[in-house]
Amino acid sequence: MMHIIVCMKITPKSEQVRLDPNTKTIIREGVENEINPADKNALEAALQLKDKHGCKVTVLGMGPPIWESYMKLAVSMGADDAILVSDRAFAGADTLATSRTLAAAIRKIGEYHLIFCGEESSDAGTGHVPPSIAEFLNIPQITFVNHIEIIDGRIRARRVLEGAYEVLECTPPVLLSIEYGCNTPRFPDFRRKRWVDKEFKLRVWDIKDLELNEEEVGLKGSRSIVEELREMGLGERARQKITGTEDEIVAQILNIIRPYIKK
Amino acid sequence: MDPEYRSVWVFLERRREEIIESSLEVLGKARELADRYGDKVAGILMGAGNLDRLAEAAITYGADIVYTIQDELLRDYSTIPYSEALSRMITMYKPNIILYPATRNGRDLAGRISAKLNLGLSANTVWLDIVGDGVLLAGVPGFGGGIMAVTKCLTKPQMATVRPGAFPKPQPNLTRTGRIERIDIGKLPEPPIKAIERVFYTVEDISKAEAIIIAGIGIRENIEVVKKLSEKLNWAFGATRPLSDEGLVPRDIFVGATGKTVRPKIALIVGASGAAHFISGVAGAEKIISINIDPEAPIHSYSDYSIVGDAYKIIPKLLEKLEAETK
Repeated sequence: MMHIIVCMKITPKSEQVRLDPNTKTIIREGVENEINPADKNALEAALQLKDKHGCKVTVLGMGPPIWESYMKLAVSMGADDAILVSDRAFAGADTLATSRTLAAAIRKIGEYHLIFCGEESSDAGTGHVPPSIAEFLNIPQITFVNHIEIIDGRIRARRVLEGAYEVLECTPPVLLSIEYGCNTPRFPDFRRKRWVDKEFKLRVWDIKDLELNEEEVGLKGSRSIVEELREMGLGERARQKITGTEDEIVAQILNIIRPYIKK
Repeated sequence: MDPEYRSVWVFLERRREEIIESSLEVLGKARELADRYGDKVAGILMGAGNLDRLAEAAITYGADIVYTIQDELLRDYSTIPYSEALSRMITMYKPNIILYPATRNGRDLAGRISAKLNLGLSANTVWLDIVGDGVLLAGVPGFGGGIMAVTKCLTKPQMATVRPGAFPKPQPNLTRTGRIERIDIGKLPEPPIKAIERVFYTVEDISKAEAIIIAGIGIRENIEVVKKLSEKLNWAFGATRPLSDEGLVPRDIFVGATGKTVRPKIALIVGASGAAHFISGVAGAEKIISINIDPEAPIHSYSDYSIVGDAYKIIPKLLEKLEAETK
């Protein structure tokens, strides 16, 4: 039976995040969190393979204890197991330190065939973590995948590029990053949720469990740092108001856009 | 300047037999950055056939040197041989900065190199600056796009992926000279992944559009009329993220911090409120006209011309008028 590990991040709902103009820090109070949307698609892709082929699905996250409920939510949706990697030492990690930590957790999990990640997170949106994890594990990667099949133990994936796609084949183990929106994530199953609430034990691993040292993880293990947060200059505009009856407005719009109309 | 780590490298990604536009945009920016602290720009070009024609083109866009690596295994992009070849090059030549277009292949490669060589990497940057003697500052949009994190790499070479459309494509200078250096990289590993099929198709890339009309959630009940108007005008058609999230428009046409960055001469924005994460994707437009029924919507202050009015009435009228003109 194939074992699929799905890496998951919990992200703030992006439209709710604001910057404190005085302290230049992010205001997190009152902001709702969610499973990173692309990671939810990755989980759904794994669960569909489980439905079809009987795979085992484990979700893996790296974050603070408040992520526990989201890890459990993934189990309610159909994952078999969940592990949260959590330690103060992991805080402030860049993509490199994050990938190193997740790769160490995957190694500790032991036997696996497929690693699924969302293509990118909705907050940082780098898309760099999946390839970095694959490099740390020394396994191949297929990024930006929107369709997966298992054929005679081989993985066939459709990778979507800008104005192109490629169908690629590989034998496991392989890491796949899954395209945001490529499927419709299922809702949690009510009976499963009851079981999770009553009996499921989430495993939480810290830095010692992963046999990493503090220099390799979190802020100390990072090789890029945020110097400052700035509000983006979104440009000064003329701010002319166009008023009048609808016909007058239409006429004025036409005057403005006419030089740009290509025949 | 660090005597050991020299020059600004650009990964020149190919699509079939051409260098992609996003790589040329990055090349233009690299030229500007290198000139700021008196360094050279080198392009990295990999492929199976003769790469001289493309290397010469890269020189006209700003490269001083183009390193070409020719190997049958580099015919099409594939993570393992490409990352192996590039990491060998980096170890041999020790550049100061490496820039990649933040395309799917560019990010696939950069993330792999970062872990392979333990190098810091700024992702998906939209703003780049040099301080001191060649220290790269990189602006990364995040947290909704109204906020930019200014990041710095602690290792050399400093690396960043650069968002397509974030910088304009430079004008080629046909009299520029430079040199092409063919690199013998040694035997590369066989890719563990085999391509069964590779299909290219043309999609209109809205980030290159000269004129665009963008629909927001406020016009969700009549996106069709906006699309029709874009066809009538022969303009590109884009949308805001909520319309894409609801599946009402394809994903590759949404504009904003997590979608496309556009830099048109003119953008007509219909029924979008003007949230910062959307505005950051359209901030490069020369002129913005917007229509929104809500006088309090922030979009009005991000516009050169703004209309407080009902787009459901104005847009059909505009279309009608244009159609009448061409009859």
